[in-house]
Amino acid sequence: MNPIARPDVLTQQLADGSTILFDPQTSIAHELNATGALIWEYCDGEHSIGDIAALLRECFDTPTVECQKDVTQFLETLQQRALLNASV
Amino acid sequence: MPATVVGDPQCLGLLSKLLAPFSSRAFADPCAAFRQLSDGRYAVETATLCTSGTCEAVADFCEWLLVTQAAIHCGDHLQLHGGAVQRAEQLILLPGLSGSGKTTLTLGMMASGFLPLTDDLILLDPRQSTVRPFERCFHVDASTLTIASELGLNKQLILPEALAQGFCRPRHWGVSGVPTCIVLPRYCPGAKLELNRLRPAQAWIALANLCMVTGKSSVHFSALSRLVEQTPTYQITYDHLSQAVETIIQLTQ
Repeated sequence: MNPIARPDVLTQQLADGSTILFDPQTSIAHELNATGALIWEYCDGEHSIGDIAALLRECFDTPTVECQKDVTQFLETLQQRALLNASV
Repeated sequence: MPATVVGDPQCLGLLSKLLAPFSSRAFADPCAAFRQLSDGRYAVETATLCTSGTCEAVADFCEWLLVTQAAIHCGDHLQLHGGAVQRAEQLILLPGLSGSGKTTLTLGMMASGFLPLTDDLILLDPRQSTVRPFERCFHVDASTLTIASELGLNKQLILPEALAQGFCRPRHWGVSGVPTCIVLPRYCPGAKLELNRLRPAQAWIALANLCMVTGKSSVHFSALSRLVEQTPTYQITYDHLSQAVETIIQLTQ
């Protein structure tokens, strides 16, 4: 199943490039770096983990295997924090 | 619809003293509004009020309830737990939860010529990015009153003898303005003085955790983003009040 970001999570992008997710259910804020923010953006239900890894590979020129592993790990973290709707 | 507070005149008199700064405000003012009716009763714009107890306890409860309810109704402002002080062009926010030392630090800053805007609830206008005064009484215990006295603040404060046990109120307040610096205080007995500049994201997260629950909306969060992008934010861990005040003043120079 493709990852889907919870629509009620508020996203704030700051001028220094960092992105913050605020979960209104837990009142907890999470800081994302530029890569995390990009992955979050693609958690729209349209992109699979493979798609997201491929898009990141284009942006950051990372080896395929490593990229897929990083994306999976990051999505698992998002899921552990209950920020995603669909299972990864 | 305004709620009406009725009861023992002694209790209402006490309540009237505690809420005096709010009594002159027009009801259209979005902040706490409180007025005495022609028949001697008191009216406020808040939900239904019901309590019982001694005169002091009822007044204490009503003060808390009326002010908090009024603040909740002031939903267009971003509301943060914390103090704020002002001197000339400098407006410093001191956001923090109970026990972080914000009231003592507010008093310490007052002793250095700053005027308070609040020691309790920061009201930030999300459109203007300005903080307005919130002239609620300070809740003080005996040790805080001793500190105020040692700082030579007794003439600047209306003391509990003229108000009610556990309350004091500054005689003069700062005016609305744009914050120039944010300092998150952390009173820690025995700790070495430590000052850390926070990145905007760190500041955002720290301040979001201090937002009143009712104030959490996308408009307020955008205001919070502008605030942390425009305002240098620090965290100070301190043991001695004078050191903390001195350090904060140096930040503003």
